[in-house]
Amino acid sequence: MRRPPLSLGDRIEAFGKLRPADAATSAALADILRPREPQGALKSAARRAAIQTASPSPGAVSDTLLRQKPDAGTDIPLANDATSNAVIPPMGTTKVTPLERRPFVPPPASATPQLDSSSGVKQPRDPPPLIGLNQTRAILATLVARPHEGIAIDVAALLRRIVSGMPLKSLPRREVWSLRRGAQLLVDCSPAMTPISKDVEAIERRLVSILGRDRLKHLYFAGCPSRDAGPGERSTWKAWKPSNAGTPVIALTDLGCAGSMSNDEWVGAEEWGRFADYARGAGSAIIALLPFPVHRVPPVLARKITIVPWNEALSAARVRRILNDSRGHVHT
Amino acid sequence: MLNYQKTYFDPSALPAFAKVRNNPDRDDWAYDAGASVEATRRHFVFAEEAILAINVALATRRPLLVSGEAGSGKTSLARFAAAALGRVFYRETVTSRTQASDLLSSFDALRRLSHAQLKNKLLPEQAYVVPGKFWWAISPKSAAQRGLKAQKGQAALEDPGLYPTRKGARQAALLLDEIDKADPDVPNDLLESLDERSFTVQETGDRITPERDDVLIFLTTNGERELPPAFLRRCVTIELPKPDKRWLVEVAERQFGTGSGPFKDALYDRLAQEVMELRASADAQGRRPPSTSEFVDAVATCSKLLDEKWVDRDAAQLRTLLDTVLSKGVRS
Repeated sequence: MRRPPLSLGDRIEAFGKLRPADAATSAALADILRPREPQGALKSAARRAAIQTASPSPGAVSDTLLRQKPDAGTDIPLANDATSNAVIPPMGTTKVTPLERRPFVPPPASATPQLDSSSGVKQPRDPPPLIGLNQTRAILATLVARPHEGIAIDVAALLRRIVSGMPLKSLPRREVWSLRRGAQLLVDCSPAMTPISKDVEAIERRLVSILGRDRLKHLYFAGCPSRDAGPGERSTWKAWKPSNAGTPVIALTDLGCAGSMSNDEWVGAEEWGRFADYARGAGSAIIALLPFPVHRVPPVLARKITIVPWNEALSAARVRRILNDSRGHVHT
Repeated sequence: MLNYQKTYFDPSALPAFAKVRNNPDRDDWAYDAGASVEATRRHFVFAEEAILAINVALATRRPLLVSGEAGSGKTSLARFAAAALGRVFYRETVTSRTQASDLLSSFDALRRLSHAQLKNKLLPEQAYVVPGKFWWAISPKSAAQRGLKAQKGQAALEDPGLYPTRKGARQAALLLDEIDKADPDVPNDLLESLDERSFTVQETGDRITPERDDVLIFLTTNGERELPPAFLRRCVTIELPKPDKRWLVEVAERQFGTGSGPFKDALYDRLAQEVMELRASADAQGRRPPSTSEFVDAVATCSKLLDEKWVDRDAAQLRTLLDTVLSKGVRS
């Protein structure tokens, strides 16, 4: 039977046997017995340098809207026109007219009511993350795991070979999923991703802690990696290079779904398609975590990129199903 | 200074120098020449917190998870603690390909298949089982016979443990080095075995139960990847501090002696300073910092190759020497 986690019993046992004589020793002993939780580890300097935060463009969809639970057949209205019933068509098909922007004029200081701490006014809370915190680890580990030959023998395959009378040159092994291949993470820092920058950063941090720095190649790009990518400041970005064949490439991007309005870094489906072809040719099929409904992506692009919807309904099982469905072009 | 009863482990009260050289075939210097205890006394500087953590792990019979930067002495801590405790020492370095079964037992299916095709050659199932380090640590006699009952004329496997004093030590220490390198499933798959100090060989159904009184399990991680929460919650944890200049000088004094005149004092100080600068530089560049063992190598090399006027002359040669044994390109 499995022992329970560290508990009061362990403390009593340790304190009873070791008998700490002072408060400092007791504190040190208690600290050693404190149950640890995994912590992410991401140095954010590179991220800050890469992103050079841009304000959300008028075309960007608001944070709140992105976090709405997806509902099949429901379209997301424009951020700056939440009351309208406007439907955003798949990108590249219709030109959306930018909304009029009015300059912001601050009110006089005397007209601004001063809030004191006793007024009971609460600061707005951060919206909930796109993926539930408890599920992030399982989802990401499933996303970057790749199959390989395990230790256990695949008896069914073995029997098939023996029955067919074929010479047995090697033993067929059962497939297991492993993180040993690592991953390449491509992070889109175009203005369209600004509303979910906290979610993006959380995913980055978690992937680093799951795979470790040595197994995760971490690159930033704007719009599409075909327009250069790199781990640090934009001035240092270079032409994108694929990792070793078979290494999963995870892209945190809108695939251009946010539209082109006032977004200098908007990239159309054609360019993404060319990039996906190039990557697949190099043995690195792209998997995109998309913070939009999948039907927003043109079908021609959806056939080239494995798209995982990045929303509250995502689970590890769903990721596995999506990867299995697209196995032909993901698991090279 | 921590104040408690060091019931289980007190390096300051080590027994006298062991004169018996009973295991000359082993090349591990901590165990070689029967000098393990003396080597521990002379060479290793146990941090107060580490001594407390080992006592807590022994009191609660929990695995001790040692974390810390590369070069902070995690592996050495396990090895020297095992020597000081007079325990048989087993070590398994975990890699990205390691599976839980590698640590428990594996099955030579190909050999069995080959025997099955030859008349009267098939041996009992146990004959094809290969014991892992965990099996050796908890139950060495059973491992030597692969779980079979000992019979006359039956060849026994050689015990891979490092014996400090005499064969048949009743207690052991097992080091699973760099446990975070494995896939996340591996620590979870080991949970039950680590808790119970027993496991079942899947292929034969044999239950392996402990022969030894106690097995102290060390696990090391450099914190690059997160470990599963269920696993973390069952371990006693200690984070070794980064080496500082004072500690490095103490290590050098323990290994190469004190009171040898200003030459050695200056050398220790100079090299410790060099290591601290290189560590800072490596941190900034995201590279591997020089470890304590590399510092020891540098002291040994400089002690042998330089004379007392080394400070004043041949600065270029000194730099070349330090590059070779210490910096290894960190500055470039």
